Amino acid sequence: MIDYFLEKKIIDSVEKSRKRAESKLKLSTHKNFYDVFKGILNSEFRKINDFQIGLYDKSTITYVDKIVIEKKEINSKDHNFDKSVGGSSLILLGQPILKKRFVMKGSAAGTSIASKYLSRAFPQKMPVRILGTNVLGRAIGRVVPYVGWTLVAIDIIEIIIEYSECNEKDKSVFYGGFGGGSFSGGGSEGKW
Amino acid sequence: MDKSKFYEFLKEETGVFFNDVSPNCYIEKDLDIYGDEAEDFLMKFSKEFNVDITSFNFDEHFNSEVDKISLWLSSLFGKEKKKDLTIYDLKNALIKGKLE
Repeated sequence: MIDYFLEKKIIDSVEKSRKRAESKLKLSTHKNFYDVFKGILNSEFRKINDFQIGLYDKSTITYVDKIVIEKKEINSKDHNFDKSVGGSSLILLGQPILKKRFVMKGSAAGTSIASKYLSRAFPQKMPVRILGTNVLGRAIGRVVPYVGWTLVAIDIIEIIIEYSECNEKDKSVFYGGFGGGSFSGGGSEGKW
Repeated sequence: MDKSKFYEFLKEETGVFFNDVSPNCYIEKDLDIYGDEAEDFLMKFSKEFNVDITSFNFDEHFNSEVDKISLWLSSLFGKEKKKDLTIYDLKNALIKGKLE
């Protein structure tokens, strides 16, 4: 026979324990949600059992025998590193890795791929100087690594936000909860 | 020596007006001329005023074609400081006919 009254009490106890565990964790940063929740749930169920034993004849009561708590991870979408890869490539395109023509002593230091090829593609002079040059292609070439740095910075910020959100969820969100309980009834000698 | 042609050249190349009473300024730090731009600038200067720049060590005075963030990061790892080239140095080169 299913004891609906007991079932209702169990569900209420789980919810009550969850709330108590969350408020307890707000005050302490070092405790694990699972342990806190389990501790509170144990004391709640002990109360139910004591109540059941006191209410009914010991040979016919229904009580909580054991509980199993399962933690179910919410699979968050893996971080997309496209921005970092793209950004790093743009930074690399803006580095002086190409050898230059030798005209002066030590002038073979190098030029960037972006600057070299873009200044060839767009040799037009601009009326104003942008990033220290008035050659259109060279200005675009000099912007390239900054775009790369921006993308990398955005990606780093996103990773930090995702990481902190994940940590927050781990502490405050009731992931799986009451995964499966085994309630045995009547006649058992065991007491949870 | 009439320096008006030199000042005209500077105006055209840097966009900044100079005259005899203008304060001395750094080519890279103040005029933001570096990398390929600096090399083009010196080559034009050499051609225009017949100044020998073959013994001028470009790397000692100018940074390569690199962004400021990378430059700052490399400076953290003890990259040697560049010698400053100034407008005054260019004026001297005009007189000597050689930039060193």
